[in-house]
Amino acid sequence: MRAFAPCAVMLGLFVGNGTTGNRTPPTAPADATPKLQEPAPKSPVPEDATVYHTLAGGEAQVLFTTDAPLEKLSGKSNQVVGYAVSGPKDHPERLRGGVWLLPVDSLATGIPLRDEHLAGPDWLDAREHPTIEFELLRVEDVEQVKAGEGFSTWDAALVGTMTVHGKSKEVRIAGARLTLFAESEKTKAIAPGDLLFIKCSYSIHLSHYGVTNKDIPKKVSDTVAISEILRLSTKVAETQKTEPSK
Amino acid sequence: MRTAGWIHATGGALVGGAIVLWLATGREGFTRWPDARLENAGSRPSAEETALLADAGLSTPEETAAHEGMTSRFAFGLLPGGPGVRHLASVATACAIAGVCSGVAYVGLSRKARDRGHRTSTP
Repeated sequence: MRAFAPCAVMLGLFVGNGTTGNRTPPTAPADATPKLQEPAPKSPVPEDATVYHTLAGGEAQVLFTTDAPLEKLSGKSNQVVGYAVSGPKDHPERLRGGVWLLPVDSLATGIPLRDEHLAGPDWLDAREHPTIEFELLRVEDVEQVKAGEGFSTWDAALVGTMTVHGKSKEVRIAGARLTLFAESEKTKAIAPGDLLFIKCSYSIHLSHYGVTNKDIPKKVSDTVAISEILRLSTKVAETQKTEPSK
Repeated sequence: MRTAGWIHATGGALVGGAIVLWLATGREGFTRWPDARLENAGSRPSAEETALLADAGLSTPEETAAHEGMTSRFAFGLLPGGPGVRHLASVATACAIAGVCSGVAYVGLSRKARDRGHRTSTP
């Protein structure tokens, strides 16, 4: 009987209601409202170009996955803000530029402690490098895939500069797909204005951007697979509020 | 003797139940609970958007399913997902509790047997 008492105490701790001892991680609060303002175009927009504004705060825009011994680490974000500048009127798919910002502390994995570590100084260091940035310089290898009433879909390679953890590298993202929609009753169910969807998948190596945590590569893979689908519109949605960047 | 047997059996049931729960909730490595941050980090595309993008050749059902896989849910993991009683629950925690309880019961049993042996040998 004497041996039973400590066992009962430990079982009681295990079955406890969990309202005590939970630590609130110092990451971005649970709020879908975009926290960043759309950056201004870095160069004057040509007269024959259209600026498309990224719609943030709704559906997931970025999914990332990396391998680890026990499970695949996955996360997502819907806080990407930015813009794209279309090509000339006869070739709007030949994007002439764009800039997108992803707040590091918006990445959510579903486990609060993991989110905290991800944004911490040993990993992406949100305090020193609050955003991941991609600047589109040009598109290459543009090829039409499909066209129909009010839309056209193109395959292309996106060439630009990726900045992660304060380090910039030129990247070429092959196999990207762009779809342009003219405004219609169907597209209004998604967002007002003419729409541009950009979908791409690529990988980055954390070590290339100066992320050299001791757990890489034994516990967490150096390679992170990223899948993105960005929704842009010629009109900024009225429901999309942005707060001034801090 | 009976008490120790019950303790071992309870420990075994605890570990067995933990493994069943782990298998039933997706065989995750770390325990997770519904998370508001994850819920707000991206909703599912609307049916209208899914249909529009499929018609335009932009997305496939497999890709849509991959996006939907990142959902906020409960999963009992092999290891704790963090501090706090909720996140400490895991297969490893159940094994540790069962092991400690069984160990304490075994030590208690050994002491009893030793004490009984001293009493019978003393005239």
